[in-house]
Amino acid sequence: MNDFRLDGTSKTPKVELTVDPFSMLLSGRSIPENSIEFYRPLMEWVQAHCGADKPRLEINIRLEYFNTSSSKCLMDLLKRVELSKNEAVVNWYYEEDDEDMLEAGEDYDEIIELPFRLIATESNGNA
Amino acid sequence: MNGVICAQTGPAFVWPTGSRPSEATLECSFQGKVTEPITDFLVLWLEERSLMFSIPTRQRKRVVRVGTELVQNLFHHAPLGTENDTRFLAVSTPSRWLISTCNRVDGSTKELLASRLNGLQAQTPEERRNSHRFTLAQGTRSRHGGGGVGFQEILRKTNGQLRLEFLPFDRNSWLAIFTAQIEAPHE
Repeated sequence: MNDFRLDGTSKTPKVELTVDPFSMLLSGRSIPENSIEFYRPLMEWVQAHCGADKPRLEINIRLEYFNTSSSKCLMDLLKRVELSKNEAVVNWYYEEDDEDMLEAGEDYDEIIELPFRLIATESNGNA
Repeated sequence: MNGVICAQTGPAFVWPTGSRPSEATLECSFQGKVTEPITDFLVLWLEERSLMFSIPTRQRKRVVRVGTELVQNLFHHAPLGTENDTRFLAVSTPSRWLISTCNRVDGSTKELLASRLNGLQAQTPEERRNSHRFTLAQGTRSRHGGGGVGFQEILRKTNGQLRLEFLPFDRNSWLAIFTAQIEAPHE
Protein backbone atom coordinates (compact mmCIF):
# COMPACT_ATOMS: atom_id res chain seq x y z
CA MET A 1 0.00 0.00 0.00
CA ASN A 2 1.64 3.20 -1.18
CA ASP A 3 0.87 6.86 -1.17
CA PHE A 4 1.02 8.73 -4.46
CA ARG A 5 1.76 12.44 -4.64
CA LEU A 6 2.37 14.97 -7.37
CA ASP A 7 3.08 18.67 -7.08
CA GLY A 8 0.74 20.97 -8.95
CA THR A 9 1.86 22.83 -12.05
CA SER A 10 0.28 25.57 -14.17
CA LYS A 11 -1.52 22.81 -16.10
CA THR A 12 -1.84 19.85 -13.79
CA PRO A 13 -3.31 19.52 -10.31
CA LYS A 14 -1.63 18.80 -7.04
CA VAL A 15 -2.41 15.16 -6.29
CA GLU A 16 -2.32 13.41 -2.93
CA LEU A 17 -3.53 9.83 -2.75
CA THR A 18 -2.89 8.54 0.75
CA VAL A 19 -3.58 5.28 2.53
CA ASP A 20 -3.68 6.66 6.06
CA PRO A 21 -5.92 8.58 6.12
CA PHE A 22 -7.53 6.89 3.14
CA SER A 23 -8.09 9.93 0.96
CA MET A 24 -7.71 11.48 -2.43
CA LEU A 25 -7.03 15.13 -3.16
CA LEU A 26 -6.92 16.93 -6.49
CA SER A 27 -6.46 20.67 -6.31
CA GLY A 28 -5.50 23.49 -8.64
CA ARG A 29 -6.03 23.17 -12.35
CA SER A 30 -6.25 20.24 -14.72
CA ILE A 31 -5.77 21.40 -18.29
CA PRO A 32 -3.04 19.16 -19.75
CA GLU A 33 -3.10 18.37 -23.46
CA ASN A 34 -2.81 14.68 -22.66
CA SER A 35 -5.11 14.03 -19.72
CA ILE A 36 -5.25 10.28 -20.26
CA GLU A 37 -1.55 9.96 -19.62
CA PHE A 38 -1.69 12.23 -16.59
CA TYR A 39 -4.59 10.35 -14.97
CA ARG A 40 -3.30 6.84 -15.69
CA PRO A 41 -1.34 6.47 -12.40
CA LEU A 42 -4.32 7.78 -10.47
CA MET A 43 -6.52 5.11 -12.06
CA GLU A 44 -3.94 2.48 -11.20
CA TRP A 45 -3.80 3.64 -7.59
CA VAL A 46 -7.59 3.36 -7.26
CA GLN A 47 -7.49 -0.06 -8.92
CA ALA A 48 -4.82 -1.24 -6.50
CA HIS A 49 -6.20 0.25 -3.29
CA CYS A 50 -9.99 0.42 -3.45
CA GLY A 51 -12.39 -2.39 -2.62
CA ALA A 52 -15.49 -3.27 -0.63
CA ASP A 53 -13.42 -4.28 2.39
CA LYS A 54 -11.42 -1.03 2.55
CA PRO A 55 -12.01 1.97 4.84
CA ARG A 56 -14.16 4.85 3.71
CA LEU A 57 -12.36 6.91 1.06
CA GLU A 58 -12.63 10.69 1.27
CA ILE A 59 -12.29 12.30 -2.13
CA ASN A 60 -11.54 16.03 -2.11
CA ILE A 61 -11.74 17.86 -5.42
CA ARG A 62 -10.72 21.51 -5.39
CA LEU A 63 -10.23 22.36 -9.04
CA GLU A 64 -10.28 25.88 -10.38
CA TYR A 65 -10.09 24.92 -14.04
CA PHE A 66 -10.34 21.63 -15.90
CA ASN A 67 -10.51 20.97 -19.61
CA THR A 68 -12.90 18.58 -21.29
CA SER A 69 -10.46 15.70 -21.57
CA SER A 70 -9.80 16.02 -17.82
CA SER A 71 -13.54 16.01 -17.20
CA LYS A 72 -13.76 12.58 -18.84
CA CYS A 73 -10.77 11.30 -16.90
CA LEU A 74 -12.25 12.58 -13.65
CA MET A 75 -15.46 10.77 -14.53
CA ASP A 76 -13.52 7.56 -15.17
CA LEU A 77 -11.68 7.94 -11.87
CA LEU A 78 -14.87 8.40 -9.86
CA LYS A 79 -16.59 5.56 -11.72
CA ARG A 80 -13.70 3.31 -10.90
CA VAL A 81 -14.13 4.11 -7.20
CA GLU A 82 -17.87 3.50 -7.53
CA LEU A 83 -17.34 0.14 -9.24
CA SER A 84 -14.87 -0.95 -6.57
CA LYS A 85 -17.74 -0.86 -4.01
CA ASN A 86 -15.44 1.07 -1.68
CA GLU A 87 -17.46 3.29 0.64
CA ALA A 88 -16.60 6.85 -0.35
CA VAL A 89 -17.68 10.45 -0.15
CA VAL A 90 -16.85 13.20 -2.64
CA ASN A 91 -16.24 16.71 -1.33
CA TRP A 92 -16.55 18.99 -4.34
CA TYR A 93 -15.23 22.48 -3.59
CA TYR A 94 -16.09 25.50 -5.68
CA GLU A 95 -15.58 29.23 -5.29
CA GLU A 96 -18.82 30.74 -4.12
CA ASP A 97 -19.21 32.98 -7.19
CA ASP A 98 -18.12 30.33 -9.69
CA GLU A 99 -21.49 28.84 -10.63
CA ASP A 100 -19.95 26.89 -13.50
CA MET A 101 -17.88 24.81 -11.10
CA LEU A 102 -20.96 24.28 -8.93
CA GLU A 103 -22.88 23.08 -12.00
CA ALA A 104 -20.03 20.73 -12.88
CA GLY A 105 -20.24 19.22 -9.39
CA GLU A 106 -23.99 18.83 -9.78
CA ASP A 107 -23.45 17.06 -13.10
CA TYR A 108 -21.03 14.55 -11.57
CA ASP A 109 -23.37 14.09 -8.63
CA GLU A 110 -26.16 13.25 -11.06
CA ILE A 111 -24.09 10.61 -12.85
CA ILE A 112 -21.95 9.04 -10.14
CA GLU A 113 -23.53 6.85 -7.45
CA LEU A 114 -21.38 8.23 -4.66
CA PRO A 115 -22.50 10.76 -2.04
CA PHE A 116 -21.46 14.28 -3.03
CA ARG A 117 -21.03 17.31 -0.82
CA LEU A 118 -20.93 20.55 -2.79
CA ILE A 119 -18.95 22.98 -0.67
CA ALA A 120 -18.70 26.68 -1.41
CA THR A 121 -15.41 28.36 -0.58
CA GLU A 122 -14.36 31.96 -0.43
CA SER A 123 -12.10 33.11 -3.24
CA ASN A 124 -9.08 32.53 -0.98
CA GLY A 125 -10.03 28.84 -0.78
CA ASN A 126 -11.51 28.78 2.74
CA ALA A 127 -14.62 26.62 3.08
CA MET B 1 10.30 30.29 -33.99
CA ASN B 2 7.36 28.58 -35.58
CA GLY B 3 4.74 31.26 -35.22
CA VAL B 4 4.04 34.87 -34.53
CA ILE B 5 2.54 36.01 -31.26
CA CYS B 6 1.13 39.47 -30.84
CA ALA B 7 0.56 39.67 -27.11
CA GLN B 8 0.68 43.42 -27.03
CA THR B 9 -2.77 44.87 -26.55
CA GLY B 10 -4.07 47.49 -28.90
CA PRO B 11 -6.81 48.45 -31.31
CA ALA B 12 -5.26 47.45 -34.63
CA PHE B 13 -6.18 44.03 -35.90
CA VAL B 14 -8.00 42.30 -38.72
CA TRP B 15 -10.97 40.18 -37.67
CA PRO B 16 -10.94 36.84 -39.53
CA THR B 17 -14.20 37.39 -41.37
CA GLY B 18 -13.65 41.02 -42.13
CA SER B 19 -16.15 42.68 -39.81
CA ARG B 20 -14.69 44.02 -36.62
CA PRO B 21 -16.49 44.44 -33.29
CA SER B 22 -16.83 48.06 -32.25
CA GLU B 23 -14.80 49.35 -29.28
CA ALA B 24 -12.71 46.19 -29.45
CA THR B 25 -9.25 45.82 -27.97
CA LEU B 26 -6.91 43.16 -29.24
CA GLU B 27 -5.90 40.98 -26.31
CA CYS B 28 -3.72 38.53 -28.18
CA SER B 29 -3.26 36.95 -31.54
CA PHE B 30 -1.20 34.06 -32.77
CA GLN B 31 -0.49 32.66 -36.19
CA GLY B 32 1.48 29.48 -36.70
CA LYS B 33 1.78 25.91 -35.53
CA VAL B 34 0.22 25.45 -32.11
CA THR B 35 2.60 23.61 -29.78
CA GLU B 36 2.36 22.92 -26.04
CA PRO B 37 4.38 26.01 -25.08
CA ILE B 38 2.11 28.09 -27.30
CA THR B 39 -1.05 26.75 -25.65
CA ASP B 40 0.53 27.41 -22.22
CA PHE B 41 1.38 30.96 -23.17
CA LEU B 42 -2.00 31.79 -24.69
CA VAL B 43 -3.99 30.37 -21.77
CA LEU B 44 -1.86 32.17 -19.20
CA TRP B 45 -2.04 35.37 -21.19
CA LEU B 46 -5.84 35.19 -21.36
CA GLU B 47 -5.95 34.61 -17.63
CA GLU B 48 -3.62 37.53 -16.92
CA ARG B 49 -5.55 39.86 -19.18
CA SER B 50 -8.98 38.83 -17.91
CA LEU B 51 -7.82 39.52 -14.35
CA MET B 52 -7.21 43.13 -15.33
CA PHE B 53 -10.91 43.72 -15.98
CA SER B 54 -13.56 44.24 -13.36
CA ILE B 55 -15.89 41.51 -14.58
CA PRO B 56 -17.77 38.82 -12.61
CA THR B 57 -15.72 35.78 -11.59
CA ARG B 58 -17.87 33.38 -13.59
CA GLN B 59 -17.41 35.39 -16.79
CA ARG B 60 -13.70 35.89 -16.19
CA LYS B 61 -13.19 32.18 -15.75
CA ARG B 62 -15.29 31.50 -18.82
CA VAL B 63 -12.81 33.50 -20.88
CA VAL B 64 -10.05 31.15 -19.70
CA ARG B 65 -12.19 28.01 -20.00
CA VAL B 66 -13.39 28.74 -23.52
CA GLY B 67 -9.95 29.96 -24.60
CA THR B 68 -8.38 26.75 -23.28
CA GLU B 69 -10.81 24.54 -25.19
CA LEU B 70 -10.35 26.45 -28.41
CA VAL B 71 -6.57 26.62 -28.35
CA GLN B 72 -6.26 22.96 -27.34
CA ASN B 73 -8.64 22.13 -30.18
CA LEU B 74 -6.09 23.72 -32.50
CA PHE B 75 -3.30 21.75 -30.84
CA HIS B 76 -5.09 18.43 -31.33
CA HIS B 77 -7.06 18.95 -34.51
CA ALA B 78 -5.13 21.07 -36.96
CA PRO B 79 -3.25 18.34 -38.85
CA LEU B 80 -3.56 20.13 -42.17
CA GLY B 81 -2.35 23.35 -40.66
CA THR B 82 0.67 25.23 -41.79
CA GLU B 83 2.27 28.25 -40.23
CA ASN B 84 0.03 30.51 -42.28
CA ASP B 85 -3.45 29.13 -41.81
CA THR B 86 -3.71 28.32 -38.10
CA ARG B 87 -4.70 31.31 -36.02
CA PHE B 88 -5.91 32.27 -32.57
CA LEU B 89 -7.31 35.67 -31.73
CA ALA B 90 -8.91 37.19 -28.63
CA VAL B 91 -10.45 40.62 -28.31
CA SER B 92 -12.35 42.33 -25.54
CA THR B 93 -15.02 45.01 -25.58
CA PRO B 94 -16.70 46.72 -22.61
CA SER B 95 -19.42 44.07 -22.64
CA ARG B 96 -17.94 40.85 -24.01
CA TRP B 97 -14.92 38.85 -25.08
CA LEU B 98 -14.58 37.27 -28.50
CA ILE B 99 -12.22 34.39 -29.04
CA SER B 100 -11.67 33.13 -32.55
CA THR B 101 -9.66 30.32 -34.08
CA CYS B 102 -8.95 29.39 -37.65
CA ASN B 103 -7.56 26.17 -39.05
CA ARG B 104 -7.70 24.24 -42.28
CA VAL B 105 -9.97 21.21 -42.59
CA ASP B 106 -10.84 18.74 -45.32
CA GLY B 107 -14.31 18.26 -46.79
CA SER B 108 -15.42 15.41 -44.54
CA THR B 109 -14.32 17.26 -41.40
CA LYS B 110 -16.16 20.35 -42.61
CA GLU B 111 -19.42 18.42 -42.95
CA LEU B 112 -18.95 16.70 -39.60
CA LEU B 113 -18.23 19.95 -37.72
CA ALA B 114 -21.15 21.80 -39.28
CA SER B 115 -23.60 18.97 -38.67
CA ARG B 116 -22.54 18.43 -35.07
CA LEU B 117 -22.59 22.10 -34.16
CA ASN B 118 -25.97 22.71 -35.84
CA GLY B 119 -27.46 19.83 -33.86
CA LEU B 120 -26.15 21.13 -30.55
CA GLN B 121 -27.12 24.72 -31.25
CA ALA B 122 -30.73 23.68 -31.84
CA GLN B 123 -30.93 22.55 -28.20
CA THR B 124 -32.25 24.59 -25.30
CA PRO B 125 -29.80 25.27 -22.44
CA GLU B 126 -31.41 22.49 -20.38
CA GLU B 127 -31.24 20.03 -23.28
CA ARG B 128 -27.62 21.06 -23.79
CA ARG B 129 -26.80 20.38 -20.16
CA ASN B 130 -28.52 16.99 -20.31
CA SER B 131 -26.72 15.99 -23.49
CA HIS B 132 -23.42 17.14 -21.96
CA ARG B 133 -24.12 14.94 -18.94
CA PHE B 134 -25.04 12.05 -21.21
CA THR B 135 -21.81 12.37 -23.20
CA LEU B 136 -19.78 12.63 -19.99
CA ALA B 137 -21.43 9.52 -18.60
CA GLN B 138 -20.62 7.47 -21.69
CA GLY B 139 -17.37 5.56 -21.73
CA THR B 140 -16.49 6.77 -25.21
CA ARG B 141 -13.52 9.05 -25.64
CA SER B 142 -11.43 10.46 -28.40
CA ARG B 143 -7.72 9.80 -28.80
CA HIS B 144 -7.16 12.93 -26.74
CA GLY B 145 -9.71 12.07 -24.10
CA GLY B 146 -12.57 14.49 -24.67
CA GLY B 147 -14.86 12.17 -26.56
CA GLY B 148 -16.95 14.96 -28.07
CA VAL B 149 -17.63 17.11 -25.02
CA GLY B 150 -15.59 20.08 -26.28
CA PHE B 151 -18.40 21.65 -28.32
CA GLN B 152 -20.88 21.04 -25.53
CA GLU B 153 -18.58 22.67 -22.99
CA ILE B 154 -18.01 25.74 -25.15
CA LEU B 155 -21.71 26.08 -25.96
CA ARG B 156 -22.61 25.93 -22.29
CA LYS B 157 -19.98 28.49 -21.33
CA THR B 158 -21.00 30.87 -24.11
CA ASN B 159 -24.76 30.41 -23.72
CA GLY B 160 -24.81 28.96 -27.23
CA GLN B 161 -22.86 31.83 -28.79
CA LEU B 162 -20.40 29.85 -30.85
CA ARG B 163 -20.29 30.60 -34.55
CA LEU B 164 -18.67 28.46 -37.22
CA GLU B 165 -17.89 29.70 -40.71
CA PHE B 166 -15.97 28.18 -43.59
CA LEU B 167 -13.89 29.96 -46.18
CA PRO B 168 -12.65 28.05 -49.23
CA PHE B 169 -8.89 27.55 -49.08
CA ASP B 170 -8.20 25.38 -52.11
CA ARG B 171 -10.01 22.67 -54.07
CA ASN B 172 -9.94 20.19 -51.20
CA SER B 173 -9.87 22.21 -48.01
CA TRP B 174 -11.53 25.04 -46.13
CA LEU B 175 -10.62 27.37 -43.32
CA ALA B 176 -12.84 26.58 -40.34
CA ILE B 177 -13.35 29.73 -38.27
CA PHE B 178 -14.82 29.37 -34.80
CA THR B 179 -15.86 32.50 -32.94
CA ALA B 180 -16.98 32.20 -29.34
CA GLN B 181 -18.60 35.11 -27.56
CA ILE B 182 -18.56 35.45 -23.78
CA GLU B 183 -20.76 38.11 -22.28
CA ALA B 184 -18.59 39.91 -19.74
CA PRO B 185 -19.98 43.32 -18.82
CA HIS B 186 -17.69 45.48 -16.72
CA GLU B 187 -18.95 45.84 -13.17
